[in-house]
Amino acid sequence: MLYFDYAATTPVDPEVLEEMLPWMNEAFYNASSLYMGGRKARVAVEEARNRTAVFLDARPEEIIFTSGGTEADNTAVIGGALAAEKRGRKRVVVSSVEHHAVLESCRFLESTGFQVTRLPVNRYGVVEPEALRSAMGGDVGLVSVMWVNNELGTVQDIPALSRIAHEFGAVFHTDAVQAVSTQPVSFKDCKADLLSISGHKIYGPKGCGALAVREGTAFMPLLHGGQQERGLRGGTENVPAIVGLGKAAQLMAGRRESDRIVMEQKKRRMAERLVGADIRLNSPLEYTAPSILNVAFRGVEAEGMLFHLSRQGFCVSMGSACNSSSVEPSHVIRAIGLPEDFRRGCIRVSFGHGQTEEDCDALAEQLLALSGRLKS
Amino acid sequence: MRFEAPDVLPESCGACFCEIPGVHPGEGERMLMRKILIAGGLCGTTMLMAGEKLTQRCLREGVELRVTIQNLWETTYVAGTYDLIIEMFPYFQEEACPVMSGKPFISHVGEKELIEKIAAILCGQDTGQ
Repeated sequence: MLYFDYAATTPVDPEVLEEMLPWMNEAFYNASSLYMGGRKARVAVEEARNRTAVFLDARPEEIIFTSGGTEADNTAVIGGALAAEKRGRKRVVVSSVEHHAVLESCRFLESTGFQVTRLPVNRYGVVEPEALRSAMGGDVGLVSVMWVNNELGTVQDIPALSRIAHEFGAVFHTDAVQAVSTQPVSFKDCKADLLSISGHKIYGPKGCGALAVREGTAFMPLLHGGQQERGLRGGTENVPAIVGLGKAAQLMAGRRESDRIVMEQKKRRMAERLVGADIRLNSPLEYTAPSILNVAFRGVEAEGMLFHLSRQGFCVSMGSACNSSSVEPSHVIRAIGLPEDFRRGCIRVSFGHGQTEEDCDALAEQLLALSGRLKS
Repeated sequence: MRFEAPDVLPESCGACFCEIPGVHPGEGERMLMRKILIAGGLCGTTMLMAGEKLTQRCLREGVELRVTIQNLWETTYVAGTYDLIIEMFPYFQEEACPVMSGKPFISHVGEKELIEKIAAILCGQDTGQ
């Protein structure tokens, strides 16, 4: 099996797994317990927090652990909006290509009386700063734009967008789940107030993520219970997963640059092969992260390609894994204005550890062969 | 997901397997019967609706349709024989019966023409299957 769906999830790094295991059975204690076992678990959680903070160029006290990227996004968007409402601001501005975790949070906010403005994007999914500026006003409490798009790989100018949000007194959130594996994400420098990440996208475990919260940023907690995470996220800490996230973050910090170079080579190699009148690259290198390559094939049903690729041992996706139960073109594909005859034929290839250049060549060859065979 | 009625209908409809009103044959009557396979993947609802549309269309010609819906991601094994296969993406290559693309049921472009084409095939002479 050749795995080309790293944007969906990644395998847990052996070093991460090794670090997690003792916390599953030998040292299974609750990190809030007072006896020695609990205190050791507490130390492990705080060490993971330090590692995550270093990885994000943030301070440890700015890191809140969550159950994943979706919870981090929900907390930022819903919690941030509810806090802004207390300042009389009841509008939220997001890009139209956000992850469903953000968009569905917005739909929930709309159901409670908030207004949501969805920003258009250009052909490559880029939010123009001027489009954000035009949409802003004194009633906007929160802006959310993802750093790297999960379907196209589009990289947004987060510092510039943050500055615009702040000019109007709004809080700025960015979903950096897909960004941290290839982009030099610095929470300190990017000026975002809220930033989400997820463990299973960086060779860590599923079930753990983090929300970086700049000091002074108000948000309403979503999970009420114990006093974990300084009362901002109730619930017994998932110590093994948090330890795993911390280790994964530490490893990624050391590997990101070399990973990025290798991914760029693989993406470029594939992009050079996938050319033709009936092929469109939705992820050109100059606008997108090297980890994701989205390609559109004219007149082809993407699910058919996925099916045949799967039978040949290639794992790719037709967009977001979270949205894979539908054959309809995703909201991202619709937002970039792709011509009708290309929309249903979009395949997402994503790169990571363990793929060789020969693997990339083999996949490109199969994509070309299938697009010819399956074209209607 | 597979939905399949038995090969032989009861003479009277005390416990009929088909749930479509008006399909039940009267006492002593037996409608001409055709079997089709609609095979695809994620578009389960689309396949169900395609089956329903074709069933209603063939009924107007006095032909009863037995529709089997198959998710190829779960299994590609085709049990039994069919008078027609409708594939939602290209898969079947050497089948004994005609194979047609069901893409118009997804895109709704050319759907009416496809239904008529299928009805013409199914409601013609007894295929013996």
